[in-house]
Amino acid sequence: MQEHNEHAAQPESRKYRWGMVIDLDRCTGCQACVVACHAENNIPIAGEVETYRGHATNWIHVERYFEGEYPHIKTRFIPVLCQQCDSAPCEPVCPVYATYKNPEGINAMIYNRCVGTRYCANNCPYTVRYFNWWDPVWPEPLPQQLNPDSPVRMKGVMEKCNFCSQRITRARDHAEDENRDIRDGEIKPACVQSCPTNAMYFGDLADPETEVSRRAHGGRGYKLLEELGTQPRVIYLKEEDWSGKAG
Amino acid sequence: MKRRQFLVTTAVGGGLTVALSSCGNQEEKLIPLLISDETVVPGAETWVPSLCQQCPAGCGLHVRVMHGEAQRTVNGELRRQVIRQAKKLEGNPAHPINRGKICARGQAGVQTLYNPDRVQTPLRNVGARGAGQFQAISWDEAIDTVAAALQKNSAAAARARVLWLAGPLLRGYRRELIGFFLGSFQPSSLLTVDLFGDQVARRANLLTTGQDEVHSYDLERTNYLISFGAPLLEAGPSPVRFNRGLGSMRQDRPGRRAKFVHVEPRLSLTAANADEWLAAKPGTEGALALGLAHVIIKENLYNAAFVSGMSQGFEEFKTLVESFSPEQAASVTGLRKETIERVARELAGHGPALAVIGGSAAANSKGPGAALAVNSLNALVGAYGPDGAVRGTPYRSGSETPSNGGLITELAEVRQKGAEAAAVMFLSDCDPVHVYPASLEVKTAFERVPLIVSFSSFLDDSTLQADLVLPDHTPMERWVDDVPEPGVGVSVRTLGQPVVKPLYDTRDTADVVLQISKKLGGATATALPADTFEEYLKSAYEKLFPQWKAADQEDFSAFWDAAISKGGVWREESSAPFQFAGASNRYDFRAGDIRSAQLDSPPAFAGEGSQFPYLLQVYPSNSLGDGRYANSPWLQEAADPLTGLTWNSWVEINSETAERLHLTDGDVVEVQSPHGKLEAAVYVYPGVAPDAVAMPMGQGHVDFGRYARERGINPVDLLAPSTDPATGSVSSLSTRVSLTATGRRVKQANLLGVPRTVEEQHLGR
Repeated sequence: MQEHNEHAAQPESRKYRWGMVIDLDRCTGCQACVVACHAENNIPIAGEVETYRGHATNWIHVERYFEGEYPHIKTRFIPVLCQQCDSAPCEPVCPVYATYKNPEGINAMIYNRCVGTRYCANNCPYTVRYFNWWDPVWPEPLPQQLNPDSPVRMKGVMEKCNFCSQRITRARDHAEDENRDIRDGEIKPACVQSCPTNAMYFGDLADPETEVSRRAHGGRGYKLLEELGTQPRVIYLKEEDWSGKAG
Repeated sequence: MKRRQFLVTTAVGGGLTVALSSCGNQEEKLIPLLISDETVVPGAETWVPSLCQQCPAGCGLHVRVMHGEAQRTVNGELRRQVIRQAKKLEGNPAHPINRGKICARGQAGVQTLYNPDRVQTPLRNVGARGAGQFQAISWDEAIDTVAAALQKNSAAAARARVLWLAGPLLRGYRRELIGFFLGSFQPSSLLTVDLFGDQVARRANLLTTGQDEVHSYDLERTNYLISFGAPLLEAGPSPVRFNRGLGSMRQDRPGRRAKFVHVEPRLSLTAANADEWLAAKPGTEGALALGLAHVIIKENLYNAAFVSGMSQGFEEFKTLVESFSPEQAASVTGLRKETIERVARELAGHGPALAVIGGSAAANSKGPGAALAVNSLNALVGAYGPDGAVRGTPYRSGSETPSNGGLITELAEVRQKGAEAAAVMFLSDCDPVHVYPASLEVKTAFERVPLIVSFSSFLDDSTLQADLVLPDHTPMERWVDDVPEPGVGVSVRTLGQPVVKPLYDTRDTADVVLQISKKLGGATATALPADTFEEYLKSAYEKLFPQWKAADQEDFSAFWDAAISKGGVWREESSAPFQFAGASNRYDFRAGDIRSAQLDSPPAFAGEGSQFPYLLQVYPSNSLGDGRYANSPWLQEAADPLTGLTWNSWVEINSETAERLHLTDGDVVEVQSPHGKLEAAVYVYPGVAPDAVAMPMGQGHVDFGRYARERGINPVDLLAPSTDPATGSVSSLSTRVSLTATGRRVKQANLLGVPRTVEEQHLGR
């Protein structure tokens, strides 16, 4: 947990530092976040053959781990999306600066700058960057569903989770219209919004009073592959055991 | 420059450019914005409350609506027009069932609306049934054909039955309206098609508590939940509600985390999320429940106040469970005696506690008895008491919720007597040919019905057998109304207006029913005075007004408008305690005669163990359910949470079995039962027992559009024709199978990692 340094490190204009908390004690691996993300971000459908080839795009996917043998199996689910690393291994390898750290902590992609070297995907320890091997196919009238706030990426471009930046932009516009700051909980990326078990939280990690900050520091928090020094902005809360308290 | 400033500048500039360049084909760009067929503000989003109709849970929706351009035929000319488009579905934050949350299947509702393979006009089958030769006809012709057939039957000396087969979604005033319509053609039946439904639990509830319902639970206060096979998280009656409840049970009360125990022979998604998974032998859940009851009674751990004050038949029950000692229950279930004793003590000692049943535990020949045993556990821990975890369902009327019907019995009669038994069969929101085992011969019954009318939006397996297809609007194109079941202990009624204009020449089935009854006149028309479903719904709401209005709602229009903008009407004030009904008005331990269910032995399965060594476990897919979502590309590509597999069928085998038969992931095997055989690729799965195999439902459609067509197999076709006589519910745990390697391999599209051979990896095969 390094968030305490952030107030000092930021110039005044850099107000928000977005982050996410995922409570693994709640997550059931139901895939609601995955489909919500597809709907919000115009994620292409690969089809069976391309999925087999490893070309399916899932900005968020739920990893599953088994421990033990039948009938004593413990299952763990971990939703994995871009960890929006503060020290992101994908960024320095991009020859055209298509991926960079934006002022609010999001590891952003400039799609029309990307030339498709795929170096960034090779360098991502979380394997959450996806390459468009083909132009997306949306038979009519499926394009009517496409979100106008999110671009449709074409062949040759890398893509990844951006914490639903279009939702952040909309919330910022609303807040500016009303001449106020963005409220805690006002922005919900599609995955957070849909999550049936309320396992996901999104907000400003720079403000210690927000729900994400409070939950991140609640004692169960850890970060994925933290030891690599990537400084992820997604904090996972480990599973708990039954308290066993009588009713 | 900020994004918005940029947009404003470019919009103004761009508009000028378009307006000034009058040559070329610019009207394509400019005119759509001028001739917009609805009031939409470019760039602005609106959220329209609606109802999720992807499964019968009845979650409230907020649909994100924005403007967009689309090709439309206007006065015979193809034009680009700006129209309202549904962009994203989210949960209605105020709705008591889902509180703003929504599952994977719910999200995909928008792909039902914009599916490229929808039926766009009424169709008449001009070829043999099942051949798929359909011809477009007009609505007038379609309605005339149906009316004539109904009229002919009514005039006949010996009237045959009018059957309506509906999915579990048909509820609320829509169900009431169709009930009135059918009521004017005696004899007639409204039958529910639901392979993985809760019929068995519902019947046990009726017998023991007098309430013909799927119970509502207060999960948020529950401290101990034991589920007997119920697929709560992936396919239960209300997946979002149960996911939400489970999250809340674990982490919403600081310092108090509830325990969730799940009993099921296969590691399902629900089992994988339990704090403790008990893999009892298949079909022995009832024995376990009675074993737990034995310990609770013997150690005097039961809720004495509830048992003495609000139940009857306890002494007989006590005598019955005497023979279910932990040792005895352990030998039947294969669990350890100590585990049974410990779980019984935990369950009784951590109230409010709750026991639920469903899935394979209910869908076998011992299921109905097991459901009674599970309800008895609830009675012992006082779950039906005033502070118990089972809550009342305050707003409910029998004509608006499905109850058990004898679908299989009626279809058997049709199979034998043909046209004498059924003159017309209507199909709405259901695909019985696909979801019921081939051994039940649903298709043969269909062949003998003179006129089959399907209201489906897609050419599913049952609709291919229809003579007429009268495509319904999809839910976002019509008025929606619902009474959710199970509820959450408060009165809820969901309402929604059409979100977008109909894409095609389709009609709301409720409107079509009203048009048919107009055509018929007489008693049918008198039973249904409305012209449209909207009118019917509004007059029904007028009756609700006096009882449901808020203090500030002076007249009906204020009440109606408020209901539309909220997404329905509900009362949050307090969760109602459970109310018993029936003659005794208390919990009946004797009901249904548990003794005769012979829970002390495992069920018998079709197929000799020597010839068919593996017990087949058929389960609903997390994303495709019983197959009704297989036409959504999002759901086809959503990983099965436990195997990671997508886009096809598979058969799960234990690693022991795999080793013995020299099989690995992707090897195609022939799975044979006494009732059929299929081929599917193997997936080696640690969560299935060495003496069993498991297969997900979902695929194996004849057509159903490009994403589902001829993809994978339908494992129910291996099942024996085994049903529960009382509820007609199909046993999905009934049959044993054998496995034979075919020597062929396929590539499995697995999102959790692709097992590849060296050749595939490096030679690109």
